[in-house]
Amino acid sequence: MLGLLLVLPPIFVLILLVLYPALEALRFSLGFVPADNPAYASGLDLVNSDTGSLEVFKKLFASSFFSSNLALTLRVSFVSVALLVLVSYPLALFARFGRGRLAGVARVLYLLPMFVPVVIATYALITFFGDNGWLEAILGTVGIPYHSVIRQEAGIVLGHVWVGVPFAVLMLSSGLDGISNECLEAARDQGANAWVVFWRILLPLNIVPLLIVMTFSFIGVFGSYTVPYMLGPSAPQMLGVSMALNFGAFRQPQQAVAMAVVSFVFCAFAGALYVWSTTRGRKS
Amino acid sequence: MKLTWFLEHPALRRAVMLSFVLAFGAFLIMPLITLLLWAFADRWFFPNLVPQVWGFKWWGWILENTDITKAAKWSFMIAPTVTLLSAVICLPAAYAFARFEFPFKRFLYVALLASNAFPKLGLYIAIAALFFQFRLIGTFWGVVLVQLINTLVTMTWIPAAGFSSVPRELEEAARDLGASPLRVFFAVTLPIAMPGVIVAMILVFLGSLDEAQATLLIGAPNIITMPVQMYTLVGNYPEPVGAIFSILLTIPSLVLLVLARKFLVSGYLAAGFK
Amino acid sequence: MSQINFIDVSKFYAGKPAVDKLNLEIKSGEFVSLLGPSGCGKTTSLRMLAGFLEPDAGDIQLAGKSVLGLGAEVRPTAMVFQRYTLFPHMNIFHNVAFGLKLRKLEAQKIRDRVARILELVGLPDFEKRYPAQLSGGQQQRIALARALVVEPQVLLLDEPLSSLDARLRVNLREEIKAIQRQLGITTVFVTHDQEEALAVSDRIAVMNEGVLQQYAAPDELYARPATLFAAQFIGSMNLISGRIAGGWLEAGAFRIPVPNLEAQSITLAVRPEDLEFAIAHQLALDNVSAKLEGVTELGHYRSLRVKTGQSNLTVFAARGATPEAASDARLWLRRALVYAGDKLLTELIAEPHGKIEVI
Repeated sequence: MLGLLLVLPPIFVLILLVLYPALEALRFSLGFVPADNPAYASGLDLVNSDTGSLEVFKKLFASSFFSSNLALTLRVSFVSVALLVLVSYPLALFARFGRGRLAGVARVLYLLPMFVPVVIATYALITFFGDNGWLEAILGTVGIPYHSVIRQEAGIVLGHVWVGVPFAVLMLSSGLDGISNECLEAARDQGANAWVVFWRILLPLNIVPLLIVMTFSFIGVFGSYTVPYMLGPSAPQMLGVSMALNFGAFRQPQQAVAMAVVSFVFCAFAGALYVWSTTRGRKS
Repeated sequence: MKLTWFLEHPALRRAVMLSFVLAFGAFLIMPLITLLLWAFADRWFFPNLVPQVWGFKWWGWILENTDITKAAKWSFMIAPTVTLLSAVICLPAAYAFARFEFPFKRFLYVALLASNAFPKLGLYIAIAALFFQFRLIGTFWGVVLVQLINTLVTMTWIPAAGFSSVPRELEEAARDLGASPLRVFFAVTLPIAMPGVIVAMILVFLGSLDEAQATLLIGAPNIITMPVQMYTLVGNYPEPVGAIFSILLTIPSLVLLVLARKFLVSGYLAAGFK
Repeated sequence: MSQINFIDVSKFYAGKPAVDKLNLEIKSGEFVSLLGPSGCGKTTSLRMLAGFLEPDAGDIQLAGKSVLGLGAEVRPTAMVFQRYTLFPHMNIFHNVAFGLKLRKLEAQKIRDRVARILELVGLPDFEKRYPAQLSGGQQQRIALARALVVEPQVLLLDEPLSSLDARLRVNLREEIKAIQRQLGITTVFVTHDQEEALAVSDRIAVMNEGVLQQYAAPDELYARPATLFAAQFIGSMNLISGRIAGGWLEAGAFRIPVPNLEAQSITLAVRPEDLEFAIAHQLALDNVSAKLEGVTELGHYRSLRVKTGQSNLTVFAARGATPEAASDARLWLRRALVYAGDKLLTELIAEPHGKIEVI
């Protein structure tokens, strides 16, 4: 029972700061407008209902702005996660199996973004990859034309890959560390080449960390603000940016909250998979 | 011939790996170097490869700008507060998860983790609405509370891994020698689990220093921390201002990195996400 | 035919030789153990044979052909590792079938061969289980099955028994030996346990600090260790330093006539079972007065600690015989080895007529 008592404070914080506001937001999006909450009650274009209605969501999905925003968000999330995995897996393999100075360099290098605040990372990416940026200047000296990726969809993806690498590599390589050398040598001894060892041994044995990386990154990208705000186009927008604008500048909290509910629904599967694989990885 | 034939040739494999690591290194480092160049440029016009005029003109400007010093002050008040508050709330729970059996343990464990499974901005908006109601918008404690959410998993899981790595036999041996349970905790358990606790606190501290989204939403217009200030600096001021500010903002992270590298390599980083 | 030849094989770690000019010939069908303490180069040698390491010098040949440059995946060797050896995410069937699938055998053939080999290692009907559900001994049997099922020319065993408990270790080593005999497969067995090596091997290669000390059959190795290291490493041995001068060998309290040997410093090495602690004895090289200091019961025999002069010696005695602590008891020497420097110089045996034979 002492254990339960010690665990209560963070759970209390969780209920107060996650569960309660999330439920309030859900109720608000269904048309229950809380009169005592000025942030909600003073919004424009409110749908008010005593029995609950899906009016807000209907309007949302009817809007072409929203559907193109949602499509962009989904596209960016999937592409970012895929690229992140493609970049991180070789690095993780190299961190685990690489020998020599180069491997040592790689092992430190990938941690770098962890210690650079996201806002700064995005700013640095603008100054390098942006219009009239350093990359364009460098390529210009050898006569290669460059078209900036900043303020494009690709810019958001670029930013998320840059920012997401440390977590992905850390997770994957710590999973790879748990695979014994004997196991890999036994496979080679049985006649497996590097390719077979990767597909039949490394990948299946490291599937849980991979799932964690994919789901956690997906949720992170889906709900991101800074990276798309700094690096993305002004239209269409990622849901996070659009949400913040609707809540603040446009004074349409109900739409913002409804978007939050939609994004939670879209992330629910990834979220469930994330929680499942994380607890599974923890158990073993 | 298979797509991966190069894997079978050690020299080729090395070459492929080398170019991959170099390309990746360039991708990571070049933007940061660009910032460094900008920070010491008094004038730099495209398409010159390096600044035309080097100098420290903008450094003085930044250090005298009261907005920016105020932002630094807020950042360094909020980050330690969040770290300490999070430690007070989560460390006992971390110990409990590592050492005790109690009802709903697994459920609570998963529940805590689920806070990571929310798309963040949606959650912040819901919280912002709630804080409006409780007049926490634009207040110090409002920012501290919203930043607290992101620390729960880190501050519970990493120290829990640290606590459970302490051999029970050691604790039992200490009890056997006549130490009280509290004495055992402070003399044996805590010192051994300390690396995990320190790593968690560093990550939480850095996370708080870097947090911009929630702080912008909850803290504006009164509480502008350094990363939030960055949003307004970009675009409104010439590049060197943003660059110098970026360097100033990265310094605490780098100092902590150097101080804590002994602990960071010991595998706790990954444990925090598992 | 699958004869193995190590020819002047060397391997260096950080400039130091882990294996130093190893020459070893293993005949087809032979069961050879590489024996030595940890760091002696035995595992390095095995891994060079398996293809996990490349030698820095010399050649390794299989059936007369060099295997250098061939990766482990193409060498006709199969290895059983010390531990963590099964693929944890595959059930037993898929573990054992792994190598067969890589060789693209038909499904039916794979099923038959897996079933047959599981029968051979005594674990039929285990196909559906996962490694985590098996005991340590069962896991090692499966590992053996997985190695054997691909019908390798050479079976490599890297301390496969060292993580098992004592009784299981003895049982399993007997079984491995029986299976090896039945299949007639050339086998190289790495172990640090001299008893294990003596029990199963046709020949044993004793190694120390990368250097081959002796390569001989178990009985020869036990009876006449070629180096002082081998003498100490195999079985128990009493070592008494002394010297030869004027036709007499003097070591501790012992004084033995050796008319044909030149004067030099030597070490006298005596097996505990070649000493007898008694009032009187017929056959002996020499006897000295001795005092019993302690007895350790070891089941079917007992180990006595005996003090004679400055030396403390170990003496094995039969369980029934009660040694007398009498002050006039004497220690009788039946057989001894003489080492000059590190090398075996000669063997001394008491002859039936009381004469000493110097070989």
